[in-house]
Amino acid sequence: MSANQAQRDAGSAPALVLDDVHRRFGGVTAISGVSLTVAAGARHGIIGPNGAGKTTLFNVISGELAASSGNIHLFGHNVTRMSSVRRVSRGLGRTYQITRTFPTLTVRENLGLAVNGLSRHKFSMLRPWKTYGDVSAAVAELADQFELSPRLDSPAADLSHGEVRQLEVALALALKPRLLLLDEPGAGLSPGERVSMRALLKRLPSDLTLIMIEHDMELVRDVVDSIHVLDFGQVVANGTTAEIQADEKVRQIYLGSRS
Amino acid sequence: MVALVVAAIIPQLGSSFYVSLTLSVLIYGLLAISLDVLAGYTGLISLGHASFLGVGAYGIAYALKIGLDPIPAIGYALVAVLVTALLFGLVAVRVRELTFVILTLALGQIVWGLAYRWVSVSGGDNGLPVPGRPSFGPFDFSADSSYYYLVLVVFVLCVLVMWLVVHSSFGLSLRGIRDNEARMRTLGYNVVVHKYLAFIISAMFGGVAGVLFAFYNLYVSPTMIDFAHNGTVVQMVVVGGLGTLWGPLVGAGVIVFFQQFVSIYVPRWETVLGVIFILTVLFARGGLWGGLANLGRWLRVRAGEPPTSGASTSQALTEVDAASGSGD
Repeated sequence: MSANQAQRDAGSAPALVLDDVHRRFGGVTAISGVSLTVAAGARHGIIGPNGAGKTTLFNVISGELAASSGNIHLFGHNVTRMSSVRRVSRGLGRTYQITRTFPTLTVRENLGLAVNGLSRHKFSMLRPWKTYGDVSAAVAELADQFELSPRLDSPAADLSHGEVRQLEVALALALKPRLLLLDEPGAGLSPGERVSMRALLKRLPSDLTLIMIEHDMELVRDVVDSIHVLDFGQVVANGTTAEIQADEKVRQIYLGSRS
Repeated sequence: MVALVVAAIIPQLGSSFYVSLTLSVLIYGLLAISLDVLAGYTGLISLGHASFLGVGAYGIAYALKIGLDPIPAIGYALVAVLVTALLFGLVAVRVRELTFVILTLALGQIVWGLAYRWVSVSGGDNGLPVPGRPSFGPFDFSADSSYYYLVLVVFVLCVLVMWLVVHSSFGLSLRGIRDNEARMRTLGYNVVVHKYLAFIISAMFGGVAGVLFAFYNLYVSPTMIDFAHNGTVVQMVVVGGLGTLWGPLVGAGVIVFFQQFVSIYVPRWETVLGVIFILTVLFARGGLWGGLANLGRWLRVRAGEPPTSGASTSQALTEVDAASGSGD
């Protein structure tokens, strides 16, 4: 995608608009009337206690779960009824809280799959995929960017936890998304790995819109500019990172002392 | 390469028994390799794969019965396989894992049931004869030894195409689906389309094996596609090594060898085969092919050659060492 197009989109429509989105599982309402707007190019955080519905909200945005009611607009297009595959082709990428890579495939093959995801090559049947120069170049570039080059021929199952997290983000970025959903990129990382993950997130291209679920407030403060706070499937507060940190209600939710 | 040369000289040895035995191995090997594309690479283990052998073989027998020439008959049989695969695939690729196994088992039983009961077409219990083998211009394939070369050429071409398929971008997508289907969707893959294509490709090569089988055996009957034979094909793939492409040929070789050779001398050959199956599943998770590959690496390192690729070799080596250590 060209920079011009990114600017045009940035000028014309927000990256994501949720309008009164609900998601019910039987009698349980996991997401209850969430509305939010994320401007193109923004760095946005979603926080809230465990079970607040953060990951469910991501699943509804990415299309892995259908919204029970409400509307979802991606870069000005209504995608509420669109399959997750088609949302990917509209520029949506995501990572998972529980990492989902391809364990028996090597790092090279993992990245190759992601690079091929939106290309015509994926139906090519009679030519070894490694002979496509553009695919190999894109794989090498991603590996370099995410410090995975020495591990290209190791199966993903052999990677350390930190490396798997990096691979996870690399898979999502391989499709050159315009909106990236990051589900707890810092979960389970050692302090050292956390530092490199933070550096990696801050290096992401500035025209990429980022929405991140994260518990680690230090990471949140460093990466995002604005925050929505979710509790029991509802938005209970939103504002800039500084405002949210000073918010009394948010502190109560996190300290568990709501009255 | 060595195997190819050995395969090429077998008819020169002058024993029709070994020619016939090797023909069986090649035909069942092709069937097992075609199943591996679906079972090993895509992770969809089908218990109905012998059906495509059946449709291909019955297609030939029926087409010849209604008076078609051999070449149109081959086309007729392959179209029948394609139609069957298109229909079965529509149902089968909607489900995964155990449900897929059970559903393909049911589909296989439908084909068997038709072969058994639709007497006007299939000859029922009596099966159908295949009157003769084709000849193309100056090439006459009526003798086992000349037909053998035709089968060998078709086998090599088919495996070459399947090798290309599993190493292509499409083949990579199949292995991605095997590892993590949900993640593939969020990478922009329409996994149902990929699985459907894999099902059809696998079925078509199974159908080619069926055509070869009909002209080899010169007789088709419901027995060759009954439940036991569907299971045997899966056994060939698992014993040989899921997702190794060449492994299922080894598996087919071992099983055909037991069925047609060991059975002459050992009345309880099925028990021996069962024990081999259990030992393979327990101790060689990559099947016989994976076991042989590990052994080869171990021998090379023993002989003082440097390991070829760092991580995987050292890992394989520790496994081999651990195994031999416990055996001492």
